[in-house]
Amino acid sequence: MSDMNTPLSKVRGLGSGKTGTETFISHRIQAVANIPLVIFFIVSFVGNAGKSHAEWIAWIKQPIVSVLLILFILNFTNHMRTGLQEVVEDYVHGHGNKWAATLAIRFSCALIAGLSVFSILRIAFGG
Amino acid sequence: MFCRSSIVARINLSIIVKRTLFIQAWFSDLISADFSLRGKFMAKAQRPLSPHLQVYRFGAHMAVSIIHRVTGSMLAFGAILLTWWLVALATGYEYFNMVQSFASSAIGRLVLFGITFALMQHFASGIRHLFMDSGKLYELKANTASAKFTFVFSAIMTLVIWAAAYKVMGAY
Repeated sequence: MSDMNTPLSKVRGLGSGKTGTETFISHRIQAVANIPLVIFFIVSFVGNAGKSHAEWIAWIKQPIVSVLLILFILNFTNHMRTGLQEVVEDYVHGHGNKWAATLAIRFSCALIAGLSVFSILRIAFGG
Repeated sequence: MFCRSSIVARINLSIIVKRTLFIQAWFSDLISADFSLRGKFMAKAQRPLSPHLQVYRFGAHMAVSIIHRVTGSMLAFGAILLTWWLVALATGYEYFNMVQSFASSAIGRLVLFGITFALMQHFASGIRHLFMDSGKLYELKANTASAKFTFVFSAIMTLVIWAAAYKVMGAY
């Protein structure tokens, strides 16, 4: 016996769907998580409309606010990545184009998440 | 000797070619498939296509489907703006005020208004999609009614959000 893998585990993800089911399900989970986070985002940004720099900083410094904002950003960037990926898979044709678009989506979503989360942490920890 | 064998060979060859062509024609008529030999010579053959979007009457259920994708892509642009705003907030007072003056200009407010609508529309049609993922809202009436409702919801919510924001800022 050369390895301990079951035959099923060897072929999983090798079909034309690849890991499509996992992506589909996690996209829906992100969508459900986005419902309360978007409500929080809208309510708090309307409530703080027109505030000054110092007031915004003081608001974000609250632990619950910074945590919720970070969760919102991580969740929507992941939702955005899988969503845009789906659009690319439907409308962008050709192996090279598809990979170029996929890389652009991956990198820009990571950049958005990185910059936003760092900014919130910097404010929260008083930078 | 040489000459005679060549004539025989030529006759044999012509018989073979004729027979091959006959068999090919018969065979390709029989299967008439895309990958038959005839397909190579008739590259621009007009083949019937399976019916797609053009055979269905356009309705709210179709509009909400494509608008879900359009608004999702708009929100990706909104995410860039949110990142810019957060970076400005973390950078400092002066840069933040510059970004705020962009946002509160006429064009900035128009863009933010559009993104608010996109967010509310994507929110509503996304929840509709979650219902459809659980096997609901597939009946014709419920499907069309829920599609129309997403537009009503997003229009009303966009106006409510902006009215509330102006109220908070003390515009009235």
